[in-house]
Amino acid sequence: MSKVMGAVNRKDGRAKVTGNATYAAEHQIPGLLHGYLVTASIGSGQIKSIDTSQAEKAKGVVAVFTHKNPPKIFKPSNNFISSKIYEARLPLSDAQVHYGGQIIGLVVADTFEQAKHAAHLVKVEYETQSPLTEFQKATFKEAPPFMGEELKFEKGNVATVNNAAVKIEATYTTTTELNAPMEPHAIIAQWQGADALTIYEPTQWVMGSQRTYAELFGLPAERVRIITPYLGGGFGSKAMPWPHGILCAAVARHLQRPVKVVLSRRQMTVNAGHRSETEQTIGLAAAADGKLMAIAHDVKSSTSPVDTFTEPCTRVTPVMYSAPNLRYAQELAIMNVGTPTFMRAPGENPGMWALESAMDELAWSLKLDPVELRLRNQTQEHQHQNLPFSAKHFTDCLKVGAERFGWKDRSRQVRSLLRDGQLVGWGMAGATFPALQGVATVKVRLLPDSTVHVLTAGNDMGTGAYTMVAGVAAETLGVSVEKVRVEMGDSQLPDGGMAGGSMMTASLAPAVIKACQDVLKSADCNDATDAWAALRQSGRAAFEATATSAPPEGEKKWAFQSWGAHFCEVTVDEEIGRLQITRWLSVMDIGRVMNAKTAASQVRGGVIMGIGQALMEECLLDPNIGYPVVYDLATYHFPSHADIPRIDVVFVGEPDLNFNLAGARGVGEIGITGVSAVIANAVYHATGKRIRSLPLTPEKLMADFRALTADETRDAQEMKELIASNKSHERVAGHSQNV
Amino acid sequence: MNNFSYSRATSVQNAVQRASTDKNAMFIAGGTNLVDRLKVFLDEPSQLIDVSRLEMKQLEPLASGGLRIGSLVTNTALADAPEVRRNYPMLARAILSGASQQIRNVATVGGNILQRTRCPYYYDTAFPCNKREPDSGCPALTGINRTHALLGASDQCVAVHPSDMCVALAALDAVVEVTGPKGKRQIPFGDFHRLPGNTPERDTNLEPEELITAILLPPLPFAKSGVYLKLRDRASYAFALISVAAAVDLAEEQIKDVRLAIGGVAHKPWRSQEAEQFLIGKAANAATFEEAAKIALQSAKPLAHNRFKVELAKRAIKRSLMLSAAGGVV
Amino acid sequence: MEVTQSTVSGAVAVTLNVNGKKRSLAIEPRVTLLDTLREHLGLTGSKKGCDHGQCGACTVLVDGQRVYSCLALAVMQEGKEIVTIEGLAKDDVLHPVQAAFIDNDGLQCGYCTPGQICATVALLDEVKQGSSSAITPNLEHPPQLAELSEAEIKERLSGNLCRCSAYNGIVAAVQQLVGQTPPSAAADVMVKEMPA
Repeated sequence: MSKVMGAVNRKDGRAKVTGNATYAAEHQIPGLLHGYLVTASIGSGQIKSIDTSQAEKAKGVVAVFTHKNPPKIFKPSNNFISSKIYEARLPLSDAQVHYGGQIIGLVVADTFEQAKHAAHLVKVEYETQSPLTEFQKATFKEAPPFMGEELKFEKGNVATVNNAAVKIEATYTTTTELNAPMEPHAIIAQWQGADALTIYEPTQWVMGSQRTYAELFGLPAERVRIITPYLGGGFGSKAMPWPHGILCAAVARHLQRPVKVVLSRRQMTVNAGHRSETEQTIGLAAAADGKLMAIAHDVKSSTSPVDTFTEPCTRVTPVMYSAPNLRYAQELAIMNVGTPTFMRAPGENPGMWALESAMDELAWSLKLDPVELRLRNQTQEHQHQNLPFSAKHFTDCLKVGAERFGWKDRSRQVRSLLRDGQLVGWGMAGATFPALQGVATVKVRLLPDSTVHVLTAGNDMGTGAYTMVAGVAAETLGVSVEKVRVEMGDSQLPDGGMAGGSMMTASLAPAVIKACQDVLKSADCNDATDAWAALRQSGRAAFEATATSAPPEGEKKWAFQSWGAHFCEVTVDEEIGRLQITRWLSVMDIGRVMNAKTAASQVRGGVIMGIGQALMEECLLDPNIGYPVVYDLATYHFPSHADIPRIDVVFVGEPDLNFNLAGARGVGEIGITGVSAVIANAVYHATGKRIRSLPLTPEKLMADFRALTADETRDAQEMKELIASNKSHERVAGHSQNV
Repeated sequence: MNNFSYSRATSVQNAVQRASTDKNAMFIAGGTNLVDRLKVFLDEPSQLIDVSRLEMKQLEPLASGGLRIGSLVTNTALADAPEVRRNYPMLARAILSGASQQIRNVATVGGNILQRTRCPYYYDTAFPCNKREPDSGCPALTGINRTHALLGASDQCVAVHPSDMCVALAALDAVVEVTGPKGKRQIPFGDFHRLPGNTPERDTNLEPEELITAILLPPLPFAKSGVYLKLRDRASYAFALISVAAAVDLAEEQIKDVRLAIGGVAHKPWRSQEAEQFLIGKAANAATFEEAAKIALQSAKPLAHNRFKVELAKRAIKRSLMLSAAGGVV
Repeated sequence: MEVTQSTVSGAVAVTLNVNGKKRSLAIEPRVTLLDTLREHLGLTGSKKGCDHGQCGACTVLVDGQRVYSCLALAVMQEGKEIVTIEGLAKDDVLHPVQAAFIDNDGLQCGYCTPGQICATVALLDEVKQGSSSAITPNLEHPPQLAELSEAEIKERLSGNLCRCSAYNGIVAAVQQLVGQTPPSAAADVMVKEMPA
């Protein structure tokens, strides 16, 4: 356990590059039926009538389910411990339409094509209400605690700070963003009689799903088996059952046939989570030397009518910078939108966009280097929890980053750098994400053929968990990684916790270490080679041990948090509003790095998703109808190869042994935090234009873009008449949306 | 997708004849737009007539010096053709700027010019749409219309034509050759696509049973300095917000002739003859090009969210004309 | 060419050449090549990411060219040579593109990976044949494999999206395949060692 394991190729690489890795919808089940969802085409209202007769008569159709004949589902406790579903309202529970695209039916047929076509034949009449989809028109109220954590706090008194050298206050906005994993949400539900269920579904939380489906169908947990060896990304949106999964499993029970439901991209837009739009106002007050005197952070986000999810942006406020006066609060509005959820660094991502933009504004106001401003204000303790941070190396992130990027050569003026006729700008910002650890259990088996078998229900959504587990086992046992076979993602294996909150490594790695140590101890050997010899001599089938890791109990001594700094260069062709990111460096302090390859990929993935947020990602609903107009991968842009520069990743710091015996804090989410701020800060340096609303689309980047002039706009009267004559808002019936 | 029957045409005549006996039949070649539309129930044909195996895959020089492009020539084959790279670089670049290699490998020239708008309201049957369902209304007018039309739109429809290739073809004065029950005819490119007016359901002047057999490109020596500039929300694999195909013919700093077409602004690829006429005889400089850009957009009627496109189009026009005047290097 | 004709709602007999094997099946004309591979032939390596030609996960090779199998009707592919991700490795030996993806960590969740790999196989071939891209400075002088720039690689692969964003690793894989020396996939780790 003394060395860094280095850079290891992905254990699951071969299965994935050959097409042999089997994802949920790909399991070959005899007699499989195909379900296709029927979804609402209005943004708010009631179903007046739903005519399924044509669909039922269509070729191959086995059954059609609507709120008039919903399959049996039990209401779960939904308390996160014994069960948790993303959306508290159960599918098809009544005739109410809460948001455009909501699931209002399921057609089951012999083939995918038949089911999809029949779903299109379902005719719906609505009683339409005017949907509320515009953030600016919503009513905001104090947000409830987020997973038990208060989202409001004050120390000192921000209002009384009046001797500051510089004060700034600004409002920063982000748009609705979609998790948009490459693998669409999908499920195959197969019942063995009325009281045993097998589910193939991409879930980031195998055991949570097992418990939840068990409650939904009134079964003991062990009667439900969840199988998820591979999942094609989730980014927070695949941790719990969504309505489509619940409905599919219920229908499969009703029909006593295996049923598969795969969401289309359009259906995913509203039925599989998103990151809420946010509006954040940050106030900063500082002395002339840059020392912060006050920080105020006020946040608005929205949720759906059928569940509560607050984007917890203020979690960053007490951890980043020290100020004697510090206050934050969050408000939440209910709108006719799908239920928002966790999306890579929920809270920290938009929170750091606002805070790190504001810090840049403050640095310019103070005429102080933004790296220096951060160095002077970093806090050694969590200002809400009143605990010191364990193994914090934010200073190294800033200093190593500045050194490697050549930050000292940055000009101190905006619009001062031109290259090939384009403005060049440099930006920097901090990054942060809390270190979480859950309870995880791992079984290790030494086999007589000189291999090691590690088993856990925890899983790998592309993070590198297979490889990490194999690496830790190999290292602890003193064998090569090739000797270790890892089996994950099946609820019949020991509970491995959730692949979420960047905690899979911190939860699993200590359990793997302990189980490996235990298996050696039980064999009374120092390494696996000796143990294998002893095993063969004993004639036993295997030496095995099971171990569980858990967060330390007792009084809390530390706050655990990861840190980082990003530096980037952009070029802006401001005549035509075209921006290119030309250089990127991320320096991260995540405790011990378990695998230099997969950890780098995690940071790059986070950065690139952040680049998407900064430059292009935006889901919009029609304001009058309430149905999305951005609903697939042609309308919801996220970065392509051509948008992305080489991203250099450096890790600094030390193993965080206060946190766990692996010293690792996790790396899945920190990469995305601060990214959009770095880019906006670089744009400011390049152009002198401070953009506070994401994404930075061409119209915001275009220089001297003029305000509306008379010859460019329609006559106001003409526009009014247009709206009056437009029949499109009155539509109440017609095809259901179902593609 | 609804279910449909499928047949392979054995000849152009056979294809046309099959189409005339079934009003709800559709031709399919590359299918990259049609299959997509079928999947979202924008079209529900009774049968698909597969014309992809017909002999319309030839690129042939015309006696006039131009080029005859069989309608089944793929986008990739056309962009890769040496004579296109050499003589019509704006066409090659427009094609290469569109979609992705996978789509260009399959998409045909005939299919490309028939592709329909990606207006998100048109493309989802949850919305009313005059183009899909005449007289049902146009929610884009009062909804989210950032990508919608500036020029030549109507109160019935503000959708834009999505093709990149067509912008270059409009600039190059291409001619569409079609065969129908009454025989062959030729349609000048400018007359091929329609403005929405009161019949937004009709994109083109092609008759239902007519089949596009070829595109004719007249010779245009100064097209060698032509450029195609595409501006979009993502660096690649995205439709244009604004695109410009331009070529300037210079005689000692004086503009002898010019071609200018704009994409992303109208229901059809928008050739700006007013701007072209203004430019002829003028000195090739930034001020002239800026003035021409203003003229090209003078009848623009922006909506709530696409006002920036007026300015963006002007700047893209100026930039493109400058680039072409400088020799066409991008 | 034999004329295939179907009646409405009927399945038609179709014979496809997939990975060198003739596969005969009865499917409706509306079934895409992607759904045929995944739902009828058990070849689930080609992925359905968007089903609308907007992501590239379904990329396969048809007559050597990369295409989106989600936008192709299976019935139209008769007589063509179809190669999917399952057809690239020879016995147990990975195709060089597959191996380069693993070496450079050009994958994370793996869902876009088969499409990225098929696209890369085709890309190398296209460059050999002298194809240009939208950003090739001189269309008449397309780049050779050895001089393929990072920008060219990225433009040519942009029809394959990756939400995990393994883009750096994929570009590095291509660079390795054309004989260039890509930067290491691994981060620079300056973290203190674990105490003994």
